[in-house]
Amino acid sequence: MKIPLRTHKQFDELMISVTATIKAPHIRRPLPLEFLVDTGSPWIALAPRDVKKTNIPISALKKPTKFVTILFAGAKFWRYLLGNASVYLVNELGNMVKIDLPTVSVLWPTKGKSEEFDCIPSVLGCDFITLGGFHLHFDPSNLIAFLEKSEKQ
Amino acid sequence: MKNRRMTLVNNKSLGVWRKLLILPNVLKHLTMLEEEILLKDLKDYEKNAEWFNAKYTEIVKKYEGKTVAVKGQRIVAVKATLDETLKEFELEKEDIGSIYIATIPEKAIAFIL
Repeated sequence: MKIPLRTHKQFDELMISVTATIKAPHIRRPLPLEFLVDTGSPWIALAPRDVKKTNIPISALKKPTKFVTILFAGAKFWRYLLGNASVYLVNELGNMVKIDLPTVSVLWPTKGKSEEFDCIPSVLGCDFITLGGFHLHFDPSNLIAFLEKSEKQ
Repeated sequence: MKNRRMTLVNNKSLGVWRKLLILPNVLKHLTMLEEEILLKDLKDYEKNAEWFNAKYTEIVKKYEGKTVAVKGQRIVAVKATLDETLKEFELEKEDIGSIYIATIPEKAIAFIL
């Protein structure tokens, strides 16, 4: 089973993104969101712009016991946890695929206005790839990128 | 009289039981409906994102530092901030399920994550 990723150019170079929807107890209306596929990130994390879009009540979320503050895109963020989350994506056949995760990280700036961080995308990190049992394929010369998982898993 | 009362009680409890039996089916249909909506939103959003990416150079030149909303593969709103954009959609009671919203960085600012 393959999940196609979108290759596109920003800042003159390629990046790969995927559209996914997160369903979790604190999200009333699950919305499609754009995630940058980032193997440099340990976690799947929602950036402030998507926290605002999905109306997640930050005050209702718990902070993790480890790695409470993180550096991301040159700024410092608090890391909160969205528990019992499911990530929905579309596979190459146009069907929906659901991946359950124990937590999704939610980022909120430690200082400054949230508007300053509206350009920063949410990221699909290594925990998602590992827990989902995916392989990541990226062939930039031919503009091919996808996540693959064997049907047995 | 007693028999009639018994029938009424039975009918009443039968109604409650019927409702309880129907409930899982209703929930199943609601979940199916919700998943259909999620899938449609995901596909429509993807089309809007692809359109935005194809026109990225053009859009950046025109709307640098602004927030742009794309619906049905066309720009439907341009605002100074994301908050303003979301507020306007909320006031218009517009469902943002399939709308691709992006804030364009200011010129010469690139993000390395």
